[in-house]
Amino acid sequence: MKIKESYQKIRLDEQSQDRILETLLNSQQTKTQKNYKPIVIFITTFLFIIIPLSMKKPLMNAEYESSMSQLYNLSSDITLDEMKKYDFYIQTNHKTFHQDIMNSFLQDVDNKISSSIIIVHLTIEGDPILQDIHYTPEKTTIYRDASRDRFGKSSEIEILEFNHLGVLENNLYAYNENLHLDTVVDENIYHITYIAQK
Amino acid sequence: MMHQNIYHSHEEITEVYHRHIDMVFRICYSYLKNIADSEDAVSSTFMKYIKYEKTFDSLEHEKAWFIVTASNTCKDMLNKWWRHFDSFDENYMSSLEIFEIDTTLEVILQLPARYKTVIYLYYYEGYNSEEIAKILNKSPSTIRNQLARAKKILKRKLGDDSL
Repeated sequence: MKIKESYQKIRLDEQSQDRILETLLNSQQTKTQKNYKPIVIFITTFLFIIIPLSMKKPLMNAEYESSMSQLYNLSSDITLDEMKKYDFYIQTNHKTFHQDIMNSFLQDVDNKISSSIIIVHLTIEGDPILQDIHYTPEKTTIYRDASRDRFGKSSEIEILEFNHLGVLENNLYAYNENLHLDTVVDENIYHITYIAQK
Repeated sequence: MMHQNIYHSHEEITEVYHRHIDMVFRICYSYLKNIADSEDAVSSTFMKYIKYEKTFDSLEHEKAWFIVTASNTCKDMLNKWWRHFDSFDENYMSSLEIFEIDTTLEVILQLPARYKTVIYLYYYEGYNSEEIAKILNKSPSTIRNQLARAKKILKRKLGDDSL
């Protein structure tokens, strides 16, 4: 009971509650008004931002190759510091490296452009697990290499295939049918990684 | 994106906000331990709702969505802090609070982040481990283990009477 009583003390005062609500409603209004921006602004944006961006090749995502994964050519003794020199998206317990590569990859996925990314996670023991994600609008192939995990069972690169790739609540998933909070426990949904920001 | 679609009316947002603000704030505060950052997390959580285009099947579904979204928002903020700041003065931050932080609350706030939502849902919202598992999309055995470990910490620091 003491715990419940203690939780009850955590409460935002009415004034602050009202202030936050007002900000939320105003922000919705402000953003909605952008629907009616003059066409000139749209054209200017198109000319100066969208066209240069679309002409600009993604800087760091590997060129999409439908064949084999780069993981097959990677040394089994490669260290984390060596991996940081590659264009890999790396997540350690407290740090993320090359977020820009992930952003670029997600942008390709949004635009339905074939793209690939190598994601590195560290196990609790500090061993790297690598996933090479090959995305095309038709299917997503994941090469999962856990051979450097001293406490894992897999010594070979596992290949998984899914119909779609999607982001839900800052997490990247591969899935076959629906991606929804209620379906993330389904066997057909594969959690790829947590995304710090998009 | 040049514009934002409207998925919820002002009346709907206001109604949902009043329905969940206390719960969302409690979850955020238990993670972030100060009012200023908790307010930011509350705003971000409700902004996600404003941008959420799907409808909820029931009020329970809506509540579960807010629980998960608030927790994830806080974890995201903590993750960013880890990356951008070495440390911040928690004692100074808590000295600014407007409500009393008793020993029990202090111990709850010190719990590891992975137990925060589970403990809140169990002790404050009164859900059992199966219900919590469903909300958080985890297996009931994982939740039972987390609860057992968290209870052990609480018992050690607060004594048997507190549970």
